[in-house]
Amino acid sequence: MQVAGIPTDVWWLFGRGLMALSLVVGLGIFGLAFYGYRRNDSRSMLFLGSGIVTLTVLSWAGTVFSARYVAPAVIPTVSSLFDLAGMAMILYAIVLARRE
Amino acid sequence: MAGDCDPADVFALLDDEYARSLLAATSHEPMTAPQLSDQCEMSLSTVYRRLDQLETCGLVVAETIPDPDGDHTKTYEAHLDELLVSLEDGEFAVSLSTASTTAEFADAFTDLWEGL
Repeated sequence: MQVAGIPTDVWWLFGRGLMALSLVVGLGIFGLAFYGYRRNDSRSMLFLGSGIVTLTVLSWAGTVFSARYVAPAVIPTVSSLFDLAGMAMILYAIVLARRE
Repeated sequence: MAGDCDPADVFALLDDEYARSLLAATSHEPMTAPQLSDQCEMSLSTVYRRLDQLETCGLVVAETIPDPDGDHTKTYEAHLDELLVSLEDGEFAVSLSTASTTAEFADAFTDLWEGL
């Protein structure tokens, strides 16, 4: 089967590649934010980095875990919970950035 | 080891108020000796003497900026991020760590985020 003239296997591989790239970029931003927190003693950066890593890496890990060990029906709930937690952390980071 | 200096020379430099002022002033951006003389309120000869000592110890890095008119400008920038003093087997050792590119990115990211 093909989509837009490209076999679905290639689309699948492409999607996995993009997912892996977003995890690497998410981890990279987290690393920079954590380093910024250590160097400048900025708690806001700690929450910003934690929010980003929750939205990317933890959300992905939660999805994989729930699909493999719980039930596929739970995936949207787990994914949304991680996304919500990540966004709450970024929101708190904004509040902290105003205070500090 | 910090540059070609003994730990005692580094301690003496950091104990010097003028040297500390010059280090602090050049930690934000590269500056010329006359600019430092104005900002730190010290004579030009004092600035040059201290900068020479700081450069020898690797605490400050000088860069010559070519000028089309032929008058080259020399700027100085603090090359110090952390200074670690350790005492082992009765001997002091001073190791100087400079800001890495990653550290600069992390600081820029922090400034950007906190400046929003």
